[in-house]
Amino acid sequence: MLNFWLRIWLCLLVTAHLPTVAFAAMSDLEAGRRIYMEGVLPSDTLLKGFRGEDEVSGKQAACAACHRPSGMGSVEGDIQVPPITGNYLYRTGDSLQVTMDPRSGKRFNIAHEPYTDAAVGKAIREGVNISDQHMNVLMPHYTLSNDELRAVTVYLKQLSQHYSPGVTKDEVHFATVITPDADPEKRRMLLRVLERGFTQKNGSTMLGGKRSGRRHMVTAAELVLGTERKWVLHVWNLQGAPETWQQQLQEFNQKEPVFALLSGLSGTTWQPVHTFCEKSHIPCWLPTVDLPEDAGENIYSIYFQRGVKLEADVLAKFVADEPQKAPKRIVQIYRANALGLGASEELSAAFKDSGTTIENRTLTGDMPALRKALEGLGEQDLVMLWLSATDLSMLNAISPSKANVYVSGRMSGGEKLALVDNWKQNIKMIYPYELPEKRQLNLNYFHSWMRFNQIPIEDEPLQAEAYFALDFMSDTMTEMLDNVYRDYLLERAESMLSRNETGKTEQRDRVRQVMRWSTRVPRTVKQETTASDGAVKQDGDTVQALGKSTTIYPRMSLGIGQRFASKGAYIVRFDDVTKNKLVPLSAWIVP
Amino acid sequence: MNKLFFVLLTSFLLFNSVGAFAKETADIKQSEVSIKLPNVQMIRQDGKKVQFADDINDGRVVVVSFIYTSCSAICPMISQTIARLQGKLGAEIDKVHLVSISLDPEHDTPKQLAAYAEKFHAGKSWQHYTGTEEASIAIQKAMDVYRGDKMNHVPVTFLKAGKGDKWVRLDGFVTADDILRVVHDL
Repeated sequence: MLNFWLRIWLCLLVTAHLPTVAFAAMSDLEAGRRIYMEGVLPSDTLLKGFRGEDEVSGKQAACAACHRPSGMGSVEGDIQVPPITGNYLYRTGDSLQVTMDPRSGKRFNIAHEPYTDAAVGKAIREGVNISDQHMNVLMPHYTLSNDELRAVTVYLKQLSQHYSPGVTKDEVHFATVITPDADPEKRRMLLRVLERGFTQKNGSTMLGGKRSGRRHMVTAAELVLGTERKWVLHVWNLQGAPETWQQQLQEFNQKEPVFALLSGLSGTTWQPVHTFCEKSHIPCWLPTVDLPEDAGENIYSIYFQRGVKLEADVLAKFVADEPQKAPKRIVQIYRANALGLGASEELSAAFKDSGTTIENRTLTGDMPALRKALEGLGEQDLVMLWLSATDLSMLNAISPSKANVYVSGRMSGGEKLALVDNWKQNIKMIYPYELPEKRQLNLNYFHSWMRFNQIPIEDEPLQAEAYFALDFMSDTMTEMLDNVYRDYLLERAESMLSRNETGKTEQRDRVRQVMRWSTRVPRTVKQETTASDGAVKQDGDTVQALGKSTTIYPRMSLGIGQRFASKGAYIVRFDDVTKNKLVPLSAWIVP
Repeated sequence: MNKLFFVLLTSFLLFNSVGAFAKETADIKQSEVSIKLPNVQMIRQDGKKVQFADDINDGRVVVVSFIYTSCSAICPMISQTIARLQGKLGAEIDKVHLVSISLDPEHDTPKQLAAYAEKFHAGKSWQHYTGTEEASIAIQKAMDVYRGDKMNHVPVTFLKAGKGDKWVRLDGFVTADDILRVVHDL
């Protein structure tokens, strides 16, 4: 009898203390991380908070939702979400400035008295900050036990406490990764732009806040705080099979740790590099690749667009939007490498439920193999050639197909595709950039920079991408001041990309209008152009047009969790007169 | 005497400034506006293509809000409020058209919007709209909420009774009760 009741009593004792038992098994740091990042309490129940009468729980209630994984806060509309890392809360850091609202240029975080652990508790539980103010309605009131609160403060105290690897007071290290299958000419062009950019940037960087001798303007904040750093570029050339790349990257990074991978180049697959970045928590910043990784969770890599997969989806949408012209059969011709396979799989998946037959013909060999692959195709067929410019040049020895032939803008070299006229007049292209004439105004500054540095334009998309990767990194690092943390780099990229683009184009338009400069139609374009207002101009006429971006893409934008900056493409064909100009057959399609 | 005056003045100023910060910023500005909406094509989260101005001019009461699916701070609050409103309307929901317009249409595909709507248990009277970048901006400009970039957006809600172009504009974080009050006034 006594044993029975003793057992009951013991059970009750244990279960009453289970949450604490669970807690004891988990470190404060881990418990704090789960609360901060995921909105989960050590007892595995969801964190709950109240905004007025509205309850939020779980991931939506997690601190990271607004204060971000880096803890550096964010700005949305007119609301500043302040930094809450230990350095800032307790004022233990060396530098205590965060650029909050770059629209006003000098709007920083609001300084306050150092918190204590008790004050943090009051802020979280009652919504009253160290200055005794009630915080914005967006900040929820949470119920936390003392243990849970302690876990949160432990986590905050180490959050973004030190510079990320690859960063010192004076230097920041970057690496550009080149895969062994990358085209040697593209490699040369990419590296020339990057090396020139680094040299130029460092040539006028003054370290440690020295004022004299400065030869270029920095922001007021950088000037006063002396947060400019020398940039160091490492080129990591990968070798051998893709299965060995991750290992090579780890070795490179071990020897010379870098803050981020900047730009980069791949011929076919990029996946091992992407995986390395995810595992090592290293930002992978705007590489020039045709097959980015778009499956699974992606925190650390940002890409210009989804490459050939985007093209496949755009084509599918273009075809689906005109059901009366639907092809009976779609034939894909590609090389059996990662690029060809990735592209063809995406197109097959897009047409899976459409009722259209998909036939895949892999190309193994040269011109005779291609001729054979194009046999038996008629007007009812849509042929998608996932082939490089070199492979496509083999078409010149083959009679034009009667089928609807499409090529990849990215793989084929776009408007520079060198084919005989009777192929060109029937070929269509999926084109993921702004049309060549339309983008000349957007690229004004890029062209000036290339001219000034005596770099000829040989592959405008590739060189413009490398330039933008540099330029955007520079702008973002400038805004980060002394808060050089990897997560923060990505968070700022998310929120600043479209704002920066809009801001820059508006500013450049204002300069143009104030100086009454107008832009001549570029001399290389020797035919009619249509200005943005629809008027047709001849070569030599002055064209007043408003640029909408500073890149080859009509629009680039990111957001929280978004990783592909440009999201669409045109369907184009070659014009009838010169056969060198691209004529749009569609509006900008976003699949 | 001077000392007393000084003490009174200081406490007067202190209490005023404390008061200014002590309130939670839930001040709402209400105004009446006349809006000429562009009849641009938009796509709903269920994939249906509509002419926007026509689609929200069918005689029902209309409540318009602006969101985007990757927004972390303001939008969840706004959508939570609309969800609450949906609940409070009960059977009356058939007379109301809840409209949420995407500020990031290139990323917010119908599929993306459908998942977002699901999170807030949107019923058939609550539609989420996307389209081209130009179409979304045209609507934002017509309603005077365009701030250059989606992340510059501030909470604004619009209400309309039946057909026409006279709207009530509410700037600030409205609650479901605030909206109900205005709806019943219309």
